[in-house]
Formats: sequence, C-alpha cells, structure tokens
Amino acid sequence: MIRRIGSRLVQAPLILWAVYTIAFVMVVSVPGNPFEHEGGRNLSPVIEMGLRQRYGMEDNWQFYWRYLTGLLHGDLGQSLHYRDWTCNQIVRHSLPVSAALGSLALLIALFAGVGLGVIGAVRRHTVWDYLTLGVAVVGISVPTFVIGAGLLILLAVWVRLFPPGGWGTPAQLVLPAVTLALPFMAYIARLTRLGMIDVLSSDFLRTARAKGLSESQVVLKHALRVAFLPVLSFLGPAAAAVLTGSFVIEKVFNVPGLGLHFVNGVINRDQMLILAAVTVYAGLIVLFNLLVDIAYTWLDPRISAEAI
Amino acid sequence: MTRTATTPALYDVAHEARRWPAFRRNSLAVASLVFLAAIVAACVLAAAWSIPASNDQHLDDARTPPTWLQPLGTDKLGRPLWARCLLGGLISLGVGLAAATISVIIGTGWGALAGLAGGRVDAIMMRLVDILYGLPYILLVILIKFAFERRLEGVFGAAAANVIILFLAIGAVSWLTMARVVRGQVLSLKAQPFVEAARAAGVSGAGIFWRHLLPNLIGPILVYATLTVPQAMLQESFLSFLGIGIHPPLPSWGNLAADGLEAINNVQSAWWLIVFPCTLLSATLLSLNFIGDGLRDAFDPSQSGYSDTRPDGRRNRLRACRLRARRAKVIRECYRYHHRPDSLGIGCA
Amino acid sequence: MAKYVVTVVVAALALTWLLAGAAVKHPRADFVFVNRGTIATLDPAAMSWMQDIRLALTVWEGLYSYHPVTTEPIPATSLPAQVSPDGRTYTFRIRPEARWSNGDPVTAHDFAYAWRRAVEPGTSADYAFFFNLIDGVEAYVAWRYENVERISRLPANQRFAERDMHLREADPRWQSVGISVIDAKTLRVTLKRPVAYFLDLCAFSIFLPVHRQSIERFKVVGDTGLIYYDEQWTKPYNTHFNGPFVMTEWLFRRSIKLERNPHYWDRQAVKLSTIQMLDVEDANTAWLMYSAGAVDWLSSLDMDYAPELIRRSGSPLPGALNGPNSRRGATPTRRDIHAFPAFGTYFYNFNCEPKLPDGTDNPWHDRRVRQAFALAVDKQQLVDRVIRRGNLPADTFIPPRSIPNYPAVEGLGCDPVRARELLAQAGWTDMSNFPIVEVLFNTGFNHGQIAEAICKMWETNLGVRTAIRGIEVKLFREDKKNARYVVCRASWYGDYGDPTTFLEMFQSENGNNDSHFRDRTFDDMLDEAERQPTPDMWPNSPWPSDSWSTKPCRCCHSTTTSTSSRWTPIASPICTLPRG
Repeated sequence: MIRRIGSRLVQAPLILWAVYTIAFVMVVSVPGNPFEHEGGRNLSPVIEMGLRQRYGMEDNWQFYWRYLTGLLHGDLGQSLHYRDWTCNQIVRHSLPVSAALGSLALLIALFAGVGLGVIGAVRRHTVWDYLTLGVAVVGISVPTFVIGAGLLILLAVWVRLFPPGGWGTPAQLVLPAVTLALPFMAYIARLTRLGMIDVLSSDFLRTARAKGLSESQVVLKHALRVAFLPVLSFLGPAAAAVLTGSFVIEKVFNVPGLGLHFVNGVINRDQMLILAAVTVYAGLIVLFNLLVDIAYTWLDPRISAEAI
Repeated sequence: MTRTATTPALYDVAHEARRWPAFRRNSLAVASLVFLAAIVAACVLAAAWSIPASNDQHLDDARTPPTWLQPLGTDKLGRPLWARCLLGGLISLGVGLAAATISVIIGTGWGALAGLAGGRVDAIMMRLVDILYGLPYILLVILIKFAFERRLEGVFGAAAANVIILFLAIGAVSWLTMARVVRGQVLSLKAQPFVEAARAAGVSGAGIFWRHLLPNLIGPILVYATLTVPQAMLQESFLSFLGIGIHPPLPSWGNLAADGLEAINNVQSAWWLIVFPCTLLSATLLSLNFIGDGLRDAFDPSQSGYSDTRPDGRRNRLRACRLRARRAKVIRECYRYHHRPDSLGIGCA
Repeated sequence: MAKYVVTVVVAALALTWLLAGAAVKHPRADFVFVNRGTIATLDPAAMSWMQDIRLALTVWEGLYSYHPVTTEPIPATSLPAQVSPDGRTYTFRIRPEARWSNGDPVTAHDFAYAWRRAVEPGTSADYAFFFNLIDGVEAYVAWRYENVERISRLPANQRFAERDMHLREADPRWQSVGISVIDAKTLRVTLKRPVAYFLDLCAFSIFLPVHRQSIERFKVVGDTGLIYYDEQWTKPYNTHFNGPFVMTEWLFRRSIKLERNPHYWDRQAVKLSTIQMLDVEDANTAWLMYSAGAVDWLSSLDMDYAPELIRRSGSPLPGALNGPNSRRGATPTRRDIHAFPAFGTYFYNFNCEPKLPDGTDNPWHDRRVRQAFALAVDKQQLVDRVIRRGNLPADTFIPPRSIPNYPAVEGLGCDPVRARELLAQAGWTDMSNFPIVEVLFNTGFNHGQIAEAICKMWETNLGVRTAIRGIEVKLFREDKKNARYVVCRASWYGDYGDPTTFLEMFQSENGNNDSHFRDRTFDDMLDEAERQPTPDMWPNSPWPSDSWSTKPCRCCHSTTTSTSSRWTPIASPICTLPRG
C-alpha cells in the first residue's frame, strides 16, 4: 500500500505537467486576441505591445516557461480580461464556491443513493425497488440543466420557495446542490443495488443471520461494507464529473464558481485564467483519486492481504 | 509494470449463442429499440422538409402555442418548433453517433494494440489512459473545439465545421473506457488455444487480429458503443446549453433547451419551447441507456442483477453462486496487479 | 459504524457551510441594482466599458460631472472654471471642502498625477487620446514610446542604465506640458486650440483623480522604462475615494458594496447610505430577481421578452408601440420600465477596400453601390418588427438633435426604385454576377435576426444573393478590424458632445476605421472642422447630403431600457448616462 501510494505521489507532478503542456498548446492555438475588446474601440498595436511586454507574453516559449515557473511558486498568473484580479484571487473566491457545491452534491448523492440502493435491494420486486430503478434511470438520462430548469421554474418562479439563483445564503445552496446530485445519486443507487443484491446471498451473511444478528445489522453493518466498494471506486471519476457538471449548474443558477469563470475565460480568450483553471482542476482530480485510493485500502481488508 | 498472467476473461465466447434471445426477453430494451428507431427514422426521413423549415422565420407568428398548423408551436423568431426539433435531433444524434464511432475506432485500436503488444508498450499505453482518465474532459473538449474550429471552417464552411469539430472533440476524449475493455478482452483472448493454434499455423499478427480476435470483440464493443452514444449526446447538449457547442441558427436539442429555459418567466410563458426539446432529449437518452443495458445483460449476465432469476421469479442459486465467484475473481485479480476494480466490476480502474 | 457516519456527515456539512461563506447574514442594502455586464476594471484611466464608468463616477468625482437629468457638465470637485478669452486656457479652483475618504484634502496635485498616469504608455488607456487636446501631451507621449521601444531593443544588461537616464529626463519634459499646478488648489490646463467640449471631457472617467499616497506604492517601473501600476490598487482596501460613496467590498463577479462617504463635500444631498451592485450574467435571472424584490434597479433589459415588457409599460418613445404585436389601446400595466434614447448608432459597415477578402473586385468601393444598398433597407420595419425595443430608425450616422449647435442633416431614406437606378448607373444591370453579400455579425443578442431581416430586404429589393455568418465575438472583432468581411455589423456610442466623436471613425488613419474608408477630401474637411471652436461654425458646404452616402449605412439608434422601482431622488451617485 505504501508503495502504491508512493508511486502515485511521484507520478502526480508529472501528470500535472503533462496536462499543463497539453492545455498550453491548445490555449495558444485558439484564434483570437486576449487583449482585444469585445466592444467599443479597437485595440491600438502600441498598447498591445505594452501589455504583452508587461505580462511576459511576447513570445509563446517565454510565456510557457514564465507561467510554469510561476506555477511552481504558486502564482497562477494575472487575468487578462479582468485586469484588476490575479488568477489566485479569482480561484480563491470561486473554488470554495464550486467545492462547496460539489461536495454537498456528492454528499447528498452518496447518502440518498446508497439509501435508495439498499432499500431497493432489500425489498426487491416491490414498489421501492421500482422507485429506485425509476430514479436511477431518470437521473442518468435526463440532462442536469433540464432538471435544474425544472426545479428553478417550479420552486423559484412559480412557488417562490427558494431564491432564483446567486450565492451567499444557505437557501441559495439547496437547488443547485440537489440538481447536481441527481445523476450521481442515480448511478450510486444503481451500483449499490447491484452490489447489495450480490452480497445479500453470501455465505458470511448467512452465518451472521444464524448467529442471531438482526436484519438491519446484517444489512448495514456487514453487507453494506462490501457492497460499498464499487461506489467508492466510482467516487474518483465522480469528482471529476462533479467539477465539470457544475459548469451547467453554475450557469443555470448563476453561481459564481470556477466552472463559470473557465467558460467565460475561454470565450474571452483569457489565456492565463484558462491555464489556471485547467491546472487547478487537474490538481484537484489527481488529489481526489489519491484520497480514494487511500480510502479503498482502508476499507477493504482483502487488499492489504493480497497486495504486497 | 510487466504482466505475465492474464487478466480475467470478461466475456465468454460460449455465451454467444444466447445473446439475441436474451436481449429479446428484456422487453424494456426492445421497446426502447423500437422507440429509438422511430425517432431516428423521423429525424432522417423528415430532413428534406425540416432543414428548410427550421430557418423559416415569420416574426408575426413568434411564440405561438401548439396548434393544428404548428403541432409544436413556434419559437421566438416564428420558426416552427417541429422542424427545429427534428433537425436538432438529427444533429444531436449525428454528433452522438459520430463521436461514439470515433471513440470506438480510437479505443479499439489503442486497446488492441496495447493488448497485442504486451509488455512495456502495453504498460505505457495503459498508463496514458490512466492519466487521461483523471483529466477534466469537458475542459479538453472545449479547448479542442476552440483551437481547431477556425481551421476547419475554411475547408467545410462554418455550419459543417461547427458540427464536425464537436464530434471530433467529444470522440477524442471518450475512447478511454473502450480502450480498457478491448485491451482486457484481447489479453484474455490472446491466451486462448485457438489463437495459439493460429499463430502456430503461421497466420500473421494482423490476420489474427482481423479474423480471430475482432469477431469476439464485437460484443463488448457494441455494448460500450451503445453506452457511449448517450454520454456523447449529453456532453454535446451541455456544451450547446453553455453556448459553445452548436451555434445558432443550427438547432440542437441542447440549444433548444437553452432557448426554452429563457422562455419560462413570469412575463411571457412559452412552455412548449422547453417541454418538447427536453422530453425528446430525455426520452432518447433513456432509450439508449435501456438498450445499452439490455445489450450488456445479453452479453454478460453477471452485470444485470437479474441473471440469477428464473423466468418464474425464483432464484437460481447455483448460477448466483457462479456469478459471485466470477466477480470475486475479477476483483482479486485486479488487486494483485495493484489496481482497484472499476465501478463496473469488469476490470481494473 | 454509525458514529463514523454521523461524524463524517457533520464535518462535511460544517465544511460546506464555511466554504459557502453563508455564516454571516448581511442586511439588505438601501439600493440594490444590477449593472449590465461584468466589471472589467475599476482603474479610471484604463476603463472603457459603460458599467465600469458608471461605478467609477459614483466613487470618485472629477473636476466636473454630468448633471443627472440634462447630462450637461456641471462643476463638481472644482468650482466653475475660468476660461481665458481665447478659449485655450482653463483654470480650475478645487473646492476647499473637497476631501478624500480618509480626510486628506483633494489637491490639484492629485489631478495632475492622475492625468499624467493616464497618458503614460504603461497604463494602456484606450481613451488616452482625449489628452491630446492638451498642449504638449502628444509630443510627450510620442517621446516616451520612442524611448521605450529603443530601450526594449537593447540587450538586457544595458537596459537599466539607459532606462534610468531616460526617466530622469521625463520629469522636466512633463513640466512643458499644458497641465500645471499653480498651487495646492488650483490647476491650469492649456489646450492646443479652443475646444468647445472640453468641460464635457473633464467629466469623463479618464479625468478622475486618484489618491496619490495610496497608489504610489503600487508603482512598478519595468526594465524598458514602462511605468505601470499593479492593479491591486483598485481594491477597496488599498485606496481612497472622493466621491459621494466609498467602495467597501468587492467580491469578484458577485457584488460590490458601497457606503456613503462621510467626507464628501456635498454629503447633505446624498440620501442613500448603502448601495449594493450585483453581478448577474443572465438577463432572465436578473429579471426574476427584480420581480422577486431582491433588486431595485436593472440597468438594462436584454432578454427576449423585453419588447413585451416595453409594450406593457406604455413608454413614451415612438416606435415602441407600433409593432404588429401590440394591442392598440391596451392600457399600460407597468409603471417601472423606462426607455431612454441613447447617444449611439447601430449600423452596418461595407468593406470599402478596392478588393474583397477573396481577391475579387469590391463593388462597394463605388459610392453609388453603397448608397443603393442603404436605400434598399426599410429601417422602420426593422425597428418595428425585428428589434421592437423602442429604437428609432436612423437615416444619419449621428443621432439627430443630440449635439447642440449641430444641424440635423437629411439622410437617405428607403427607396428601392432609386436603389436599383443607382446600381444600374454604377454598371450593375445584371445582378446575377454580383458577389454573394455575406453579412458578418457576432452571435448573441439579436444581431442574427437583424442580419437575416436585412438580407431578406436586399434579396427582395435588389435581387442579390445573400449569406449570413455569425461567429464568436473575439473572432468577430479581429475580422472586423482587419476588414476580412463583406458587410459587417457595428455599433458606436459617442463619448463627448461633438460630432467628431462619430465622424473621426472614418478618417483614413484612425484605428477604429473598420470599413477602411479612405478619402482625402473627407480627411481634409474633418481637419478643418476640428479647428473650429463649435459645430455650428463648421464649414457649410462639406456635408452635402450626397457625401453622407459615402459612409456605411446606418440602421437605427440604440436605446437603453432600464427599470426602476422605489426610485428616490438621489444627488449624483448613479449616472444613468443615456450616452451609451
């Protein structure tokens, strides 16, 4: 286990560097001048020269190395479109927002999904089972912006139960988090259900029941622990998907998260912000995968027995 | 990381005979297939009418609700929604299918190459896949699209370039699961006696691939291809919703949903603008998912959860045992090679 | 197991709460509004967007400012200026009670420093050319640029010495520029020639002062001699303000909070104590927030159903209620939607180069073809049926009667018959050989609709083949600037009260001349006109109605529409600035 985690730790910076390079190549291939305005006066070439000199962007190679050395110092650069803000400040303001949204969504998905899956597996071929399947199917197939739009209309426009978007109060957290959670909840419910169905007829559970443990203890304490493993496996790619799925949610509910800034950065050709966002996202995903690896070894005793 | 043992066999060749009847028994999958066929037929056959009609603006008739003349109503520019939905469906389905095709081609090629080559090459190729798995794919899709769209415009024209670059970009990031599945299958097939016999008989590597391996790969490829199409369509709809996918005036279901979203407000409500595109999109994705599930059940019953059930509803204990044993074996093999099993339980993450 | 679960859940929820920053509930500000568009920068020298200027004019105050209703320049930080008889020298006396928000008095040095900063090449100010009216500025700036470029070509080790030597010469040179500080409260400005609208300019954002002591520590001298300022100085905790309000908090793309400035010289007139500006990207969401009462004022209505809202408002602007969708005689149901005329024009540029981007001959190089295309567009129909936001059709480039002393000119109307005659005169009797008319626009708003409508008009009236091309805004700007189009859409807002703000766009060498219209006669006439002190003294003959047609055609005036409720009269905090 130590060896595996160690190897992952060594590979992480290399992965990030590869991601940065790929992103850089694409960012400078995108046509469009980051300094040109979208409206009003044209940019005069003298002014452009001054700006490029100032940000070290006269030449692509120079820009690459400068930005990379900046990254190693933790400096994500300066936004070229919102000139009053450094990318560090932007990330510091918006990453907590995205992280809060994402983690709340994952939590809801985890608990609701596992709960639904367990109920569906334990009460097979009953109403609960079909409910689980229904939720699973709807959550996977219906796009999040449809669900988000629907919730927005129902609960924020017609009924006025929640505010129609924005960020800052707890009430504004609810709708976006629930919308983001739904596809993951669906998938987790499905995985849990499959896993539980498999496990419920195992020998060791038969032993536990024979020993006299109550059904809920059997299910929750013993069976769930094993059935949870595929779900844990799924959490790694789920984190990546949550980050990216939040782009759409942020647009629908006007949440000022990093996804929204990335999309706007691409539209505005704000090269430094794009690079900053890509690096931050990749770093988070690598980190999260590592955490999932660690959690996995802790949860499944078979691994430490089998792996050297 | 070298491997000497094979990864567990995922799809047993002996199951082949039972695939189509098994699929047919899954009534949900069959109904979805029929529905999907109907939608595809409608979009394709009506193309001759929907393409010109989708841009036919009548500003006087903007935002009229569904009537006999206009079965789905009109949008904010007076264009008939039925034409926009059908053309949008054609484009969305087209992008999904094309992206899935590209991902199949790249994924199969990559996986087969890695599996056949073995050793160092295999390790490097799969490590790359692992790295790419951890990347935020939508960021890459967006960047690829912006970087190369302009260049294609000169060749194909703006509208076609828009669609082409989209499915190229989505396909370019969706091939990872396919590569893994194919590689696993190739590895297990490689150790089978019939491949050894072919090699002993002097058949070249390419010949082995085309004549012996590929027919056995079609099963899993088909399953995952069918599951990739809805993913690709979802990604396209996300991008179009954000405004950076299919550009207007070309419709796509994501585009139409974005326009429809604005139509819901307390001033001028036009419910048909959001209900119809969203329903179509959701229903199509649902049916694709059902078909994919049905195929997966038919090809490898260990995934379904229904497999240990007899037609009369009682449990087949022996088969349940066997399936559990097989899955446990898959998991153990994964751990042996310092991986964890992936969420689908068919291979290593 | 249950214990673990509960601990994890509680910890996660607590973390989420913290991250969401939802711990503290703020009281609602007195006035909450949504500023259209995101704030790009709050550096008064570098800003060019309407929403930035709107905010800057709230927290800083220049020598003059705009009257809230008539938009005439009125004295603000300065007492009424004394103008010399030849109109070239302005003497401003700063009010004795004018103070910064930390109590420091506002001095003439602050203005001189800010204005020098604005013209420095390192500040990259788009509107720095306004200062060219002042004696000596153009020469100083050119000298700076020349030296910076020279030093940048030197190898790195020689640069510092050269740079220091050059910068030592800069201060004495600046003394010869026409901005002089007579004493702490008096500023004298000498212009190159008399300019009628100079006081108007003094109210513009680039002429705002900055708090010298605060900004000085953000000054950076680059190795090529470029002087620039780390933009962190605009953060509310880094600087001070002399306007009616001070900025207390700025959350990126979320909100800005303003509070009443206790040191403002006219604080009796300021009725609000807190203002919050929200940044909402989606127009529909902004409207929903306004309907829910969370927002008091929307600075613009951009959504699709805006025409419906305007129709229901009974706005007095002509043209808003004549569309076919309006029900005549319907009583207005809303009182809170107001449409103002704006000082700007939405128009279409014809490529005036001799050759089109694909190399073929450009028919629009001939003036008559341009006139024909302009005559073939029915602008009234566009305004009534396509745009429907109360805009006025424009027959002239400059909005009529918007500039005092400037006579309204008769422009081209809509006359398809005459259009075809003109085409025939220009040699186009058979339109099948005419190149495809491709209209370029940026996606978004309703540019596409307008383009399609105009294309249809050209097809019907002139018999040409048309095509539309909608691309993203950044690519659109590049193509437009480099004349890689056949016909493209454009819009322009005037910056000050003089016709040159519109007409200089068509000067041959102007950086904003996207149509590449080059005409020596026009340049000479404009030069001569600029030398006149007021527009009514412009030479009479240079604008025969004929010559209007040499320019790209005009479509319609822009209007801004905004909503207001709970509108209480306020002194000068938010300028609605109909000019744009």
